[in-house]
Amino acid sequence: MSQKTFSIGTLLAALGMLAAPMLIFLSAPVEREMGFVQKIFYFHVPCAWLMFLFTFVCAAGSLAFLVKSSRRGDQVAAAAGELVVLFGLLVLLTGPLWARKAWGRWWVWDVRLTSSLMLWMIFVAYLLARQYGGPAARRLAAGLAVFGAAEVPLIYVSVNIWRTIHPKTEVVRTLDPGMRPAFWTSFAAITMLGLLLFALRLALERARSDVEDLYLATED
Amino acid sequence: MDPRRDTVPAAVTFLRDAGLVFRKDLLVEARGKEVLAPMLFFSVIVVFVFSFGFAGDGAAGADLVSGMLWVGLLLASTIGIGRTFEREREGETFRALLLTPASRAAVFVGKLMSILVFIALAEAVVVPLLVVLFGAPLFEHPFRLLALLALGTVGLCAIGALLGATLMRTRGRDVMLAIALYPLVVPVVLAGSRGTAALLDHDLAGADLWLRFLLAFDAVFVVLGLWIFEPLVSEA
Repeated sequence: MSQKTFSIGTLLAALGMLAAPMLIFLSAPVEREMGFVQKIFYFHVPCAWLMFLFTFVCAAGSLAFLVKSSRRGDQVAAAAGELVVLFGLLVLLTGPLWARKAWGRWWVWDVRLTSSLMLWMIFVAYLLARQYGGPAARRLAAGLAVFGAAEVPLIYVSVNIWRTIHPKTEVVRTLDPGMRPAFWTSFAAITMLGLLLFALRLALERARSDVEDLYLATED
Repeated sequence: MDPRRDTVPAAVTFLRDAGLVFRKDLLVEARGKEVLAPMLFFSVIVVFVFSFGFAGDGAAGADLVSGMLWVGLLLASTIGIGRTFEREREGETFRALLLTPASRAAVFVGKLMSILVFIALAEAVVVPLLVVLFGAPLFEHPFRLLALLALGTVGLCAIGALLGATLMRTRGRDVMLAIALYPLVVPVVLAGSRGTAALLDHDLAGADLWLRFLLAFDAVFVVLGLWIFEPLVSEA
């Protein structure tokens, strides 16, 4: 990403971040049942979307690294893996805040909650392997990312079977038209933020591997 | 190299190579018992530790017994998988294995089969132990229990063999195996323990649902394993 694109992106994200809270708190109607707590939804859903987006980015990068020994793929995967954990953490923190009000408990073993938690743990393991396993653990980490992405539907199905045997709280809501501008502004701003973080992190990872190459070159 | 190698069909070569890797592992194990001795003893200890921790007075419900069975198996198989690959690393024999003309996928299948046999032996210890200690009616639906154990173990071993092979040159191997393996096999443990609990409650339809799920899980990871084992273990 060029400097100019990055600056424009930053500007857009900043404007979105300013506009979104105003729309969310001033113009969007207060939800009848949930009241004020429903506002979490505007942050929670975009974070969850980014978590899943970066899961597949990380898996694709890891696959390129494994199959073609692509260094670029490894760098992309490293940057995306960290963002999965970051946005996953935001999802897992905002979720219980809402659940406390909706279901009366902080944590419910619901399909989406459990699946997100399992996926998040796989990517925490990914970061741990990269961080503490030495250079050879990159293949292990890449394998984890690929298996993790392959498991997303399986985890979902398994928890779904588990939870349909038992009674389950269904919370299905359709979005009120008045909430749409606030939601999509927030969605766009947070997505932009995620992409900018990704670009920054990727640039850092590339600079780091360039430095490694230079070290190796001077040692020869 | 076998001169007939070019004339026999590829599938036959593949199965024979996988069989040779499998036979080699069993032979080494029969001589040293490096994997089985610690793993079987460990699986007994785990069951006892669970009994002391969860079921003080000796009574245990379906949920508890099935949980002890599957968590115990997971812990024991971590030891089994770790030891299997640690032995290859100590003898530096894994590289030699990869240098043979056998395809990497055949090496994967051979390894998968030998780990499968080791864990099956651990199951043969843990299941009767749970029956004896808690009077759990595990043998009332023997075929379904066998199917659950077999399919669950295949899934566990497929992921274990894939991860174990990448651990060879990794720092902190033992911890890394557990950290990487446990989150990935959560669906297997969930399906296995829920399925076993359903069997103990005589809910055969519920158990069959989990059996089908395990079948799908195994299919995904065995196919993924055949395909990705080669890049995972390459030296690049």
